[in-house]
Amino acid sequence: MLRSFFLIFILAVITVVAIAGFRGTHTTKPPIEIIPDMDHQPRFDPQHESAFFSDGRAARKPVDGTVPLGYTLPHAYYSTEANNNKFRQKPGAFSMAPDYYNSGKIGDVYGDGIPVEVTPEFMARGKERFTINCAVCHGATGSGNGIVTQYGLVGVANFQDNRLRTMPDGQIFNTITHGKNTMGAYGPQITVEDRWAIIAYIRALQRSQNATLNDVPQDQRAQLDQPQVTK
Amino acid sequence: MANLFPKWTNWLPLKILVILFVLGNAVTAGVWYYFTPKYTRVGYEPIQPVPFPHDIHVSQLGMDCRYCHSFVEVAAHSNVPNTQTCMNCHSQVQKDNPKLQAVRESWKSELPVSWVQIHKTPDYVYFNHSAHVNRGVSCFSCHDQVNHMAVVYHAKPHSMSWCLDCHRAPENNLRPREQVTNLDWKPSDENAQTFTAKYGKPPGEEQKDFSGEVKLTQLEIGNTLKHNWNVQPPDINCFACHR
Repeated sequence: MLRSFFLIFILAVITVVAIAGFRGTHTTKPPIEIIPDMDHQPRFDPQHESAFFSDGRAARKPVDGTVPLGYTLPHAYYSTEANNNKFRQKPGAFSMAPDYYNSGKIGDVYGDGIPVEVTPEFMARGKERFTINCAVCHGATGSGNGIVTQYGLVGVANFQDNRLRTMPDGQIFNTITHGKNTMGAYGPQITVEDRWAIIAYIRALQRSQNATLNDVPQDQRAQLDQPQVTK
Repeated sequence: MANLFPKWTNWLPLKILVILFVLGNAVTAGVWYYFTPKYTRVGYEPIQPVPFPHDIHVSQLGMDCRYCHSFVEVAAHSNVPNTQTCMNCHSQVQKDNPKLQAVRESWKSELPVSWVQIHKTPDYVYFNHSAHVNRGVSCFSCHDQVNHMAVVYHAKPHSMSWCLDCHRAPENNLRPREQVTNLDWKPSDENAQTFTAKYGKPPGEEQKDFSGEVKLTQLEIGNTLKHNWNVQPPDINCFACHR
C-alpha cells in the first residue's frame, strides 16, 4: 500500500513540476492571480484603455475653450503656494498662454532674454534637462552631433552656428515648444520653466565654445597657461 | 470469535500517518514555492506590439530613462511615452523597419500603441514613482537592469513583503539623486570625498577619514542619505500604501 502510494505521489509531484515549472521562468503568459480580490477595481488608471469611448482612451482631452478644474491661470506659477513642493508639477507648467514667458513671443515678434532669474541651480537644472532631452540629437556640446546622427538622423541644428547664436531666446523657446522641420514638439514633455532653463544652458554652451580671454575671470587667467595636472 | 480485523490492519494507522505527513509536507512545500509573486509574477515577459529593445536605447545610445518616461519625477504613474517621442527619431532612423510598423500606424491614426503593462500593482495599493525616485530609490531597485534587457520582463517579485523589506531598511537601496537613472551605478563608483562633502559623513563614522582611495559601501551611502534626507518610509501604517 505504501509502495503504490509513493509511486503515485512521485508521479504526481513530477506532473505538477512539469506543468508549473520553476520560479523565474520567462513566459509570455500573464501572471496568475491566486487571490484576485479587489486587484482590479472598476476605475481607470493613467494611460489605460476604456471601451466606452470610440478612441479607446480612458484619458480625455479637455473640451476646447474650457479650463480644467484645479488649473491655475499662468503667473500663479510664481506664487509661494505653487513653489512649496519642488517635486510637484507646478500649476500652469504646460501653459500655452500668449505672454512672453509662456510663448517666447511679444505680440507677433520673438522676444529675447530669459524671463526667470538665472541662478546656479537653474543652470544645473538646464544642464540636466538638456542632457536628458536634447543631447541625444544635438550632442553634449550642442554641436549637432548627438548619438542619433550616427544612425541616420540628418538636419540636426548646430547651436554653435552663428544663426543659432544670434537667434532670440523666444524663438528657441518656440522651437522647443512646437518643434521645427524634423524635430518634434517637446512642449508636451518639458515644462515652461525647464524650457527656459535649457535655453540658459544652451547660451552657456555657446559661450563655452566661443570664449575669449576676456571671459575668464582675472584671478583664474594664470591657470590657463598651466599644463593640466591629472591625478 | 474470529479476528474482526486481519493482521495487516495493525500497521494501518501508522501508514495513514505516514501518508498524511508526506502529503501535508508536499502541499505546504507546493504552496510555499508556487503561491508567491516570486513564481506568479517574476519572469512575465509579454509580447509587445513593438519589440522595443531597452538595451540598445539605454546602453548603446546612452539615452536617459526620462527621455521617454518623462513624468516619472513628478507623477505617481511613470508614463509610457507618446508616439511622438518615438517619432522624434524614428521619422528618419529605421523608418522602414517592419518592427516599427505599430508606431507608424499609431502616428498616422493618432491612436496610441497598445503597450502591454508588465509591472502592475494591485488596485488597492497606492504607489508613487515620484516619491521614490526623488529620494534616491533607483529604477534598478524595483525593475532590475532594464538597461540590459532586450525584452523587458518582470524581474523582482513586487510582493508586499518585498516592499516592506526596503521600507524597513531603505539604506540598502538609497543612492544619490543624480545616479537614480544610472542603472549600472555601484556604491564603489561614488567618489568618497565629493560624497561626504555634499552629504556629510555616514552617521556613526564621523571620525573616519574619507580622503584618498577609500571606497564607500552601500550601507554608508544609504545611511548618510537616509539621515541627510530624513528618509522615514512608512513601515507600520497600513494606510500609507492601502488608502
